[in-house]
Amino acid sequence: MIATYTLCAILFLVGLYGVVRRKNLIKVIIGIAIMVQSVGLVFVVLGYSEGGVGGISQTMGLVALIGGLAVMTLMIATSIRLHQKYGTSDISEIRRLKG
Amino acid sequence: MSLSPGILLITIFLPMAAGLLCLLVPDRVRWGRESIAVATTLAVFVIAILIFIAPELRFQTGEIGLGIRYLDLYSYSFSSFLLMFSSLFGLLISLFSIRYMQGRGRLREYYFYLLLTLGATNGAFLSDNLILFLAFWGIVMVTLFLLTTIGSRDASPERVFDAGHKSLMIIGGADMALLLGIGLLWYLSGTFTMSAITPQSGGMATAAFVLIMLGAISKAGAMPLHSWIPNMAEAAPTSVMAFLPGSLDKLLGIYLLSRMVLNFYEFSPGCPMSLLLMIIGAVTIIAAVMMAMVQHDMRKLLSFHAVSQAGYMVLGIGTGTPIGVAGGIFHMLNNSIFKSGLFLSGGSVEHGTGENDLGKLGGLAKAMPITFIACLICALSISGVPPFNGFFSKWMVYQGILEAGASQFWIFLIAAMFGSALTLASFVKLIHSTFLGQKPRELEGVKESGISMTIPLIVLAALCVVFGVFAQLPITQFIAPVVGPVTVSGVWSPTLATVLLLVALAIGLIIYFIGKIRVTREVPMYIGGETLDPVETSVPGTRFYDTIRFMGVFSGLYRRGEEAVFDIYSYGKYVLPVTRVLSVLHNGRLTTYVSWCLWGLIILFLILVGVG
Amino acid sequence: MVAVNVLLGLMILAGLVALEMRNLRVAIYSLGAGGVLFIVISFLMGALEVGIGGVILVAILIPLLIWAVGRTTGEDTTARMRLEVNEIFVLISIVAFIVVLLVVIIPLFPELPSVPEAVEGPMGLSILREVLVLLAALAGVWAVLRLVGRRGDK
Repeated sequence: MIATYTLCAILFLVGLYGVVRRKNLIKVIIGIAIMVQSVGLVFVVLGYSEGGVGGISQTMGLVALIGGLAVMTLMIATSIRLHQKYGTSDISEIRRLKG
Repeated sequence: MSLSPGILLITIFLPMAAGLLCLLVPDRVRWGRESIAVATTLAVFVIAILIFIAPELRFQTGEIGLGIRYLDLYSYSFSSFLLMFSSLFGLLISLFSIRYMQGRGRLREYYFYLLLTLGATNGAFLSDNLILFLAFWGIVMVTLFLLTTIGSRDASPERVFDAGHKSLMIIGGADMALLLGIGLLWYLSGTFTMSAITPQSGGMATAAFVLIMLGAISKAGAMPLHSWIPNMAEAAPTSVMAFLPGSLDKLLGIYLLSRMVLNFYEFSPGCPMSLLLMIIGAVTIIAAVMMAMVQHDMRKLLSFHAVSQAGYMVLGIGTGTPIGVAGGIFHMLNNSIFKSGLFLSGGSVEHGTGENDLGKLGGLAKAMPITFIACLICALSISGVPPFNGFFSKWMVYQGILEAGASQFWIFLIAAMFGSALTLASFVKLIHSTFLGQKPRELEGVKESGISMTIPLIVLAALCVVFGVFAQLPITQFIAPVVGPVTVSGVWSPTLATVLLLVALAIGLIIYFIGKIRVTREVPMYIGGETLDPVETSVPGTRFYDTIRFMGVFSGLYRRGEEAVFDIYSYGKYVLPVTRVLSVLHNGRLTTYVSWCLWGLIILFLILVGVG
Repeated sequence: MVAVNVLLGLMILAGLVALEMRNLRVAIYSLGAGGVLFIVISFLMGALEVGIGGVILVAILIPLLIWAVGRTTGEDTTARMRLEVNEIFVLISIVAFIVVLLVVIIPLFPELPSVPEAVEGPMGLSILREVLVLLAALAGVWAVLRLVGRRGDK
């Protein structure tokens, strides 16, 4: 069991690596998608017993997935706007976020 | 007749769904959105009446575990009567908007936000869970901002944005306090279910009370957190002013405040919190009405009255005596009626003339008779002139102050009565400079607004009269189930008094007309051999109270008022040095922000492990 | 459990490939492969709802990403990050996070009390909730992408 949790954590860290070390906006979104999937899996494993997966755990996993999906669609829309405005997807070029 | 509890869902989600439908209706369908809005609000109003007649209803979805439910709706005497009135205002405003908003941009969004606001307000009244309540409360805040951004006819986009931003900042900041207060309340009582919370006492409960009160009075618009309303008045469409700050925000804010006083906190007359509320109320009444007197813009004048009247409600509820609380709640109801009536008649005048400046209006009484009469009735109500409804609720507030105990409370009584007199004074100015006096040449040919705009005015003015003449009706039907039986001392029978007043008026008219029998002669005016146009000798109402404005004691206060010294929002600039330090940390790189999040997570993990 | 662990390992591999590929389309297909593995794992463990959620996720996210790549740039031409003061701070944070996560938190997970069985409300309501979230997201996308009524640019 602990191995499964550790693998989920590593998957999360892989996503985090993408968010932190990649400059392309699409890559950042891919990193977040990986993190969302790992969170969903943690909920599945948490509720797992021989008979199946518990209801509340499933509900929470579903909420995490759908919420993450909603956030990612917004991010995609924003990245397209940013590309239109700055002509690049490189986040180090898009510095006008600084207020 | 028994209702299924599921009907409560309709009042919340039907307007929201209809709002989404409005977004989809294409522009070429004439009256499509308008008819959807009117039909929906009418349906919701009818359902709200059914809910009001029915006994208590409770709708719950099953627990998803740990005592959490998705929806927990509960209608009892208080929430169902508020539900009825919020739906009524929704109906009247959407009727009014048909003509008033016609031909403006972003109509699709306007109706969407309008219906969304109605649904969320109903949700806030019905929800029995504090978190759910907070969610609906937040939606109303956001739609307030969005409705403001649609903008009035004459405001520049920058100004509209500033006003919306300001309201969002002030209400949003106060909502943070509300969130903290709800957290404290949960810590003390151990439940989020509103009907299960018992009155709390002690230091922490007092902190929770103050925090929740901040949220409530920012919505209702009482003094330290009022300054978004006057700014918004010039920027937002007048129908929005009538809908949100005029009625729904008042209902919401005072609903929360009275729930707090009645159910969540050990509130007794004369306790420190009672004194705090009474001081806030009294200061609000006087200061806002003083500002209202010197305004030149019709909408701004009305908006300062919206602030001032909130003072009466806070003062009444702050007394903590049953009659004072009842008076506060009744005044909330009455205020919503006459204040939206006033805003709507302002909107009607603006629609007919295209003008909001009091100096440029005048003599419209003959051209717009229905608007004039409705505005007059509402103005008399708000000034507390018997037999209209405002008199009765103010009377109850006064009596609440007297019963609250301590003898030094006479100062609050004087503030309230003086505020009432000044209100009348400023409405004399409004009525005079809009409807009476000399009619400027530019306003020749102005006609009464269409029937869809006058019906809401007639309904609201009629309610003012009915709730005043038969004041027992709303008290026994709406208020008494909430605060318990209310006994009004003194000899005041509204119906009898009305008859007496009418008799007195009739005698006055007879005397007046007897005086008129003497033949008078109208002659043209001359100055230096030149005929003088009557228009050039007109007395504009805008100068009525300039003597007060320039009087020694007040001139300094007014100057500071204009420099926004009393505006909490303008103190934001003193926070800037702090934020400058923070802005160094904002280097605009995603990676840095992610690192800060990680440190937050690390701390959270360690706390959780330490506790568990 | 072994099969699940193997599949998880494959997911990690797919994730790494997705992040390292310079060609963004290939990267997205790799993410999609990871998503399919996610669905398989969920069904394997009997989590029907989460599995369906995964299907929705993949079915919406992958086409959206492809569309976004079509409208922006197909090649990840950005340079790797250089080591600056800022980056050192970031690295320290990440290392600290990894240590706390793997050493302190993960060993606690198997000891957690079993999750209480939920009494679900009407099924329609929970679906309605997810649909509402997605609708809100779509409304947000529309608001971000629309060009009319925007000041300042275009």
